[in-house]
Amino acid sequence: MSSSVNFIDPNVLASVDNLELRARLAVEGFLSGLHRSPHRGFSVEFTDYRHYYQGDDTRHIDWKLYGRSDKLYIKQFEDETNSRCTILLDTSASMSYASGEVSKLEYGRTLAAAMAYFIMRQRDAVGLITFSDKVNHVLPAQYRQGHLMQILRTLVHLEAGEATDTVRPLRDLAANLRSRSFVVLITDLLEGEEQSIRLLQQMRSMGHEVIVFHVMDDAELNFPFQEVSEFVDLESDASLLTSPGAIRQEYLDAVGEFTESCRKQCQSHGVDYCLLNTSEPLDKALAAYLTRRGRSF
Amino acid sequence: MSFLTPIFLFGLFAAVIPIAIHLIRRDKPPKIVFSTLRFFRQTTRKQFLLQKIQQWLLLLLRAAVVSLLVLAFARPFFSQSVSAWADLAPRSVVVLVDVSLSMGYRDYLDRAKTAARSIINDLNPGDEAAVILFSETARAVYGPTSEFATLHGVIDGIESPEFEKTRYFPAIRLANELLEDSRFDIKLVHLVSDFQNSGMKDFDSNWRLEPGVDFFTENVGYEETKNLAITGVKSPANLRGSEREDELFVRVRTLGSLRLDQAEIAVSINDQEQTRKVVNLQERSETVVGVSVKFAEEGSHVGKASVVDSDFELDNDFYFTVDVLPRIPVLVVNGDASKNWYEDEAHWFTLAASSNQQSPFVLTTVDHNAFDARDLDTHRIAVLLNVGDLSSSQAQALHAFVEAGGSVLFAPGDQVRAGNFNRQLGNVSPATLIDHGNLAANDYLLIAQVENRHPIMRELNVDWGVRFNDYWALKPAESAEVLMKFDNGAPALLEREVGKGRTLIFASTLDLEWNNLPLQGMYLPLIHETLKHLANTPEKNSSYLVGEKVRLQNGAATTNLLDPSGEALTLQEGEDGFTLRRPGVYRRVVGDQTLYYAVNGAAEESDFASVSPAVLVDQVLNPATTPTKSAAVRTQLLKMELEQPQRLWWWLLLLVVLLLLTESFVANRTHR
Repeated sequence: MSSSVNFIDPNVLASVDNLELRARLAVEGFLSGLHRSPHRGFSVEFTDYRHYYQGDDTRHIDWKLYGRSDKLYIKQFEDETNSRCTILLDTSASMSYASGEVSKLEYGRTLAAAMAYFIMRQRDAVGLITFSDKVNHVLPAQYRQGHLMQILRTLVHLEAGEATDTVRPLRDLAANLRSRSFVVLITDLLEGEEQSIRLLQQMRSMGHEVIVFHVMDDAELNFPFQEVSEFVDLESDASLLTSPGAIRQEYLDAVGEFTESCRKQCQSHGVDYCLLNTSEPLDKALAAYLTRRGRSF
Repeated sequence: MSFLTPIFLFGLFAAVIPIAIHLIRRDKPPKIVFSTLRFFRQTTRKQFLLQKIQQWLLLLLRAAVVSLLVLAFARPFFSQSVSAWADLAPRSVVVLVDVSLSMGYRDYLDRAKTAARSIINDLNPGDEAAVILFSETARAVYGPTSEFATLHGVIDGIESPEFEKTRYFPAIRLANELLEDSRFDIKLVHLVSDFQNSGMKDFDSNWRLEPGVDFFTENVGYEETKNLAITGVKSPANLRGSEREDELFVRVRTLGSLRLDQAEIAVSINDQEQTRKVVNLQERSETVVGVSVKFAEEGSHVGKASVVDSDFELDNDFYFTVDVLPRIPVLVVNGDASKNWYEDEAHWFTLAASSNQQSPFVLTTVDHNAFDARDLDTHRIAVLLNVGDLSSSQAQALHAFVEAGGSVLFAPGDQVRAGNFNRQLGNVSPATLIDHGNLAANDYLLIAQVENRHPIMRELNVDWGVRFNDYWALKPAESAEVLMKFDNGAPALLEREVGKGRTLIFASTLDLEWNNLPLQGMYLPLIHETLKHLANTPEKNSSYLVGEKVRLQNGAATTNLLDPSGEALTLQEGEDGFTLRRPGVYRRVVGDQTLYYAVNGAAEESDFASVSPAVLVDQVLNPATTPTKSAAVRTQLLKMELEQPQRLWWWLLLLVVLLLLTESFVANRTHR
């Protein structure tokens, strides 16, 4: 099986306006490549009985109990399944950078949608938190009809903020997570990465499963510039005149050092770390999630 | 340092290209919005400075590569100048500079001087050279010498052309003779000229330069030329008698490669303009204009025909003279007078010599018995027609008359006895009489042989058609010249110089008694030409050409001579004449009489039709001569010889390769 056959290029995905369709294309493409899902069998969890009222779905009547008590009871199921997953999407200004057609934010948006779709498809509860220098949207993790559409609608209307503050949303999230949850962080980690990872470590110590999708643009990772140029910081507007060829190696070393540092810090505390290039398909991210999901439940 | 092919050095301008690209591309750098600068800051400043240095180094390398490539193509070599040039074999060079009349056309002379200077400038130290200025002959020879400054001075000193025609071969022969005695083996002749076709005349087609003498040409003429010229004026050299009216014919011609449509001609006599006409030359390149002129007084008259042409002014004026002289007094002694005209011995002669008022002769006819020696004092010529015995005083008077410069024509007939004639006049007559009556009754003689070069016979070289029934057999005197012979070989007309005079004898009569000559058309011109010749008029032409020599009969010592510019000419002792050097009017004062000599440049100099220099080279170059390489070729060959072993271009190309490798190395480490 070749990924080039089964997974859709991010640029192609980005050309699809409908985010739901985009998420579905990404997930279905990924799943069809697996042939067989190792995670089937999750069922709805029974919680209580109630009296039958006219109009209830007769399929939910517990006929065994009716045989014993001669009364009609309806089985009630909790609207959550095995797992609760919260997706944290960084919408800071640096996430709006794009060397090609797909920005990091767009890539993260598609990834978040695909993750949500994928999680819901597995009957897990999914929530969404977007943030820049503050928390912008909070959709608690739920598994119910319409919740996915609400998440997708929120993702569609996302816009990049001006600055980044990953720490505060993570702190709020860590404080509010009660039951054991799955936390997916989609960010470029360009600001406060040490504090952010430290908070993720705290979550991990609280029993939550945490995975970090470190989204980097291809130009950030490979620095393909040639001519002497004036580089302007997307967030601070600071500028610097330089010859890219002269600093490429030092830059690549610095970036490699940075990503490696992030990886080591995450892995040392059980936080999964996945570096994503916006020029690559989403399968890597989905596979990483599935791996983590299968290991946890 | 010298270069074998220095033309490639222009390629050094290409070295500017990398610099130009560098300057052109110094635009403001583009702005790139990037997600973060956190990974940039630590190394930029140092690297940026290094990049600047590397870019300038690249610029220098690239400019150096282009420059070295250009230098390699230019084939440099170290010139061992002194020793190298010393290796050049020394040469003997003769520069022939045409200074004929045609070199006055426009700036021909300046161009010739420039070409000659260039030839001398190309000589090497140690060469020897001579300069010959020539026209019809070699006018001046300078050198051979190695002091080239002297030769430059000679060339700079040429201010105007000579007035003579062009002849190449006398000058080339002289150059050949000079080179025969030259010191060096390489011998060159350079001919600087406008290469007029007329200069090829008088060429000995068998003559060649000596083997080893090379020949080069420098043509200073233009391909397109135009010229108007008076090529001649037909006028009598002299007229006899005052109040004479005569017609002059002026010949005007358009010459050169470009024709002119018309010409304005002015004719003046003694500085008085006689006529001015505009003639059309569209249909014919040459036309003749007749001008009627009346000469009121005796004497010498100076005429000038002019045309306006600014390109070549030296042939615009044509000078001529007309001398109006008194009529020639002729004493006719009739030896057989008769009242019947057809029997009178002098009838036909008188009729031919002075039939009208325009005759140049004034005849006085006397019977031989009435002939008085004093009659000779007032006459220049005496004609004895069938005069028999003379008295001794008459014979002595005739002898003295001839000795003093007078002329006598004898025409003996049946009245003459040979013994008496020979005794009395044998010392002045061109021949003695032998006998007559030797022809049979029906036999006759014809004129069979004529001395065409004699002034009398010059215009009479025709079939005479005269029958002679009788004649005197003559025995020519030792100093006599036979001018005409009968078909039996007997002399018919003889001339003899006696003292200052001359005598002629005709072997038959000048009436119808022994021949039918008076009835022939040739009779009148024969009588006129004979009397003119006997008048012994100083020979003088209507016009002369530059270069001609005027011979003086009365001796140079008595001559006061002025050239056209008014400068007095001094004749050397023993000179019997003077050579005409420039156009215009020479004046010669003899006693109270002034003679004018009109002089013009050679008409052929007005024609700029040229001959290819290659033709001339083929004519004079000896087939055994190995063509000498020109200075440029020899210099180039020498350069090649010097450059060949050095082969600096190899090292330059090697350096270019090294620089290119360095450039590649630096370029790979340099980022724009």
